[in-house]
Amino acid sequence: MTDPLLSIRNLTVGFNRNDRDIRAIDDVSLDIGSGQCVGIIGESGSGKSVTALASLGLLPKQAWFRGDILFDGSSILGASESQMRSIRGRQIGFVFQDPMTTLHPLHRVGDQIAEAIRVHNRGISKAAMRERVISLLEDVAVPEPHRRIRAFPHELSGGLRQRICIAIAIANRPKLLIADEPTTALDVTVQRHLMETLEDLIGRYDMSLMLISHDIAIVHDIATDVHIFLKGNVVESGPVDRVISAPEMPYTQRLIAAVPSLDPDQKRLEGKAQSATSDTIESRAASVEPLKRRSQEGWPASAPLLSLHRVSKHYGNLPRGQEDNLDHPSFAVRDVSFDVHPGECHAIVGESGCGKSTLLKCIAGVLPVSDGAIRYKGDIVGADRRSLPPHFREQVQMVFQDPYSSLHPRMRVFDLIAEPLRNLGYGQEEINSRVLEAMNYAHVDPEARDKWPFQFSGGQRQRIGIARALVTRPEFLILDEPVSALDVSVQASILNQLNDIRRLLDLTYVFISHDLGVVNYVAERVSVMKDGRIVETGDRRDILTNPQHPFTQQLLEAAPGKSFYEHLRAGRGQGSQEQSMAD
Amino acid sequence: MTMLDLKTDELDQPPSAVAPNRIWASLRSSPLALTAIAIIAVWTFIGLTIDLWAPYDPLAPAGDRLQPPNAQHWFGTDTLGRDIFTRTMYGVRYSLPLALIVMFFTVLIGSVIGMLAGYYGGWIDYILMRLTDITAAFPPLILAMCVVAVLGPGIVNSAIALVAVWWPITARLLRAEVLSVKERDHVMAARVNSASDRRIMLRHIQPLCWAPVLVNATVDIGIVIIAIAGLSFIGLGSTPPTPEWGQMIYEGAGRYFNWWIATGPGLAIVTLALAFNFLGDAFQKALDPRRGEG
Repeated sequence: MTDPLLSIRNLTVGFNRNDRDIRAIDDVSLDIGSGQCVGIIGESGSGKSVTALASLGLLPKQAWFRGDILFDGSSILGASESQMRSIRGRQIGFVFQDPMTTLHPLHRVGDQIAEAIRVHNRGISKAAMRERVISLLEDVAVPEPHRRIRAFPHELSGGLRQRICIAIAIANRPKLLIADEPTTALDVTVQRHLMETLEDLIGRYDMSLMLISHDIAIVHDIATDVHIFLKGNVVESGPVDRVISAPEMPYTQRLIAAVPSLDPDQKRLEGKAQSATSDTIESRAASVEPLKRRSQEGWPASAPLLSLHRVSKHYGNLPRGQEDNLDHPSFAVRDVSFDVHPGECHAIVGESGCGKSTLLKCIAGVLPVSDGAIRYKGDIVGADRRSLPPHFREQVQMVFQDPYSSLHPRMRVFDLIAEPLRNLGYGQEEINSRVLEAMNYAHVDPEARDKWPFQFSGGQRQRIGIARALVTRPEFLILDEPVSALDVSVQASILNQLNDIRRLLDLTYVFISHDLGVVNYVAERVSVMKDGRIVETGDRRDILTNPQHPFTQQLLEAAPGKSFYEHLRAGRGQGSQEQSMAD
Repeated sequence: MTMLDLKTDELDQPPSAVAPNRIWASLRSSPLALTAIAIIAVWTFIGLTIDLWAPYDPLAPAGDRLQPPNAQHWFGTDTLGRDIFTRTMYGVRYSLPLALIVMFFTVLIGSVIGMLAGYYGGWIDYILMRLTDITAAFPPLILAMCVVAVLGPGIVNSAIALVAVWWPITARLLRAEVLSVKERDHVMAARVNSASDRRIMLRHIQPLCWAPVLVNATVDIGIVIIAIAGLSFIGLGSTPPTPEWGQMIYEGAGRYFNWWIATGPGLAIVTLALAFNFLGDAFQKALDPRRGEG
């Protein structure tokens, strides 16, 4: 085998912070051969981005390092800044995660691509430049390149912007492209096409690709080799098929088992290991006071608990004569109807901008509907205190997407969880016992009651958010993408927990998500939303196995990791065969 | 890359959350901030204790008229033979508390208006913000002069006039912060949990809005000190024989050969105003480390 294009050898990178030495990566070695696509998988804080920055010679000044990185035989970490400048861009291209901020907002995208070319090719003529920019735009499959060349970034969608970023990265035909979570900020259908373009490009120009991602499924679709990062170490490396189907290290096994799949017969996910005394939620619950079953008293199981009838919502004022025109762009929600029965989990799936958040605010009773009616237990849900059904604020609670902004940073955990009860005017004793109860259900350590939110990780914060929602003993939970901001193993344990809580407390969920795998894991009924309309509603299994609407089909088709799941199933099949043979 | 430099608590704060211990840690490491705090502390000490150690009576002649600075009269004597050093030291008793009071009411009024406008939006926002725009459209000192002209000259009236013209800045700053903080999910959570509007404003939004207001108010205390002196200088503030800095400078105005009359109080104004300026900068740095370290 020839020498690898990029070779990271025993690299250790550390930071000195307040006299403590923090190692971002520790003794990492990996090779990327010419024309090879290598995936780097890890959860947040695993050191994968530092590896990418080091490969570009862009380590922050405060960092110290040991080991070396060889690119094409010469050292990168030892190179001078001017040498690096000729390597960066020309030899190694880089695509960042967030296409919204990496482009200059005030320059036309054509000029931004041209600038990348000009840096390494002085004196190129205007016409030749234009030709090259257009051919680059064609390479990255931007439609109508002649028109787009004059567009400003804000005129383009996220997917197109990321394509522009890729065009800039490959403008000088680098030998190596480093992509750091290139599709994480994008919708699945967009992500799908972008990955296809990327795959096509590296094949056509014989580039190598270092693909950094938290998503095993995406990496599996495109990479040949994969390295699994955990806390700054490479815990497992190898050909992607082998690693996925027969992972050797326990961490890799857990990571793969934590991914919710589209398999309708999905088994319980492997969450992050709980505390050493892995007590079940039932035993925890038993340790609190015996609970009254708080299930839908006085409400028949056959009648819908929540019912939406032809709900529409628009923002601002509509022009005269357009009041009933649902196609007018001011409408965020268009003629939506569905029922949620007691005890069921109803998922709403859609991509960004489809109106699901607006719909959610209407259901939560904080935004008035423009037309139609939302009923909870038969009573109309209005948008202010005076027009809500009785006890609505106690019975209906919400869990938010972002575990950072959803907790008041200046309130202690106990106060955060107690806040709803304070608003409802409960006495201190009742508050104390209820907060303890909610903390137990949500797996928040009771010792944490006097800590501040910033002392917790994303998953722990999300549990605090869940405890806050449970503290009023609700019957109905609205969950707004509760796991989409979390690492996959944390995601799995939160999903398990939400499932347990629902079963144990007889709750009803409306669950918003963009991830069909997650929906498959938690929901019984699924509504697919697009452009403010529900295009399809049905049982989970029907939607997954026999989607009717073209958009649903498209969504399923685009879900990353088709081959990953097939592989996984094959691997599991093998595993069980081996087991039966052993028996 | 900056990602790596941030601790989780920094990532997690809205940009303008005020964390006292972090601010103090940052102030302590800045020599400029410590100098500013020292200057303000010294002036405060002087103001509190001047009665105990004043070398002369600030209102009575202490020797010959118009003596230049010398061993007995460090800052010289004025046209009536009063000791300028003594008068300057007494002057802080007017300028500093008055500036603090003006700033207190300015922030109070401005933040109530900014909070209501930002939180409710719609026509409330429209009316309050147009009112703010109208007030802010006039040069503050000129408008303050008009207000004093209506109320009548005097040190209290000049303070009222300054509050009346100074609140729009705070109102705008606070409104902008409220607009961003109220979009955070925890405010939405509070609404879902039937918190009253008052509670949301006071408990969930207000504590996270103070950084720019604090920075601005600190810098503005210095400017208000100058404005108070300015009003006295043109005869709209304190009345003679009060040892007020602006008025003392007026007494020296035009007397180019008796330069020391205006120099003492002038230096006093400069040191105190600069100190608040530095302190404001230090707050800025402490509250927004990313913008501060340029």
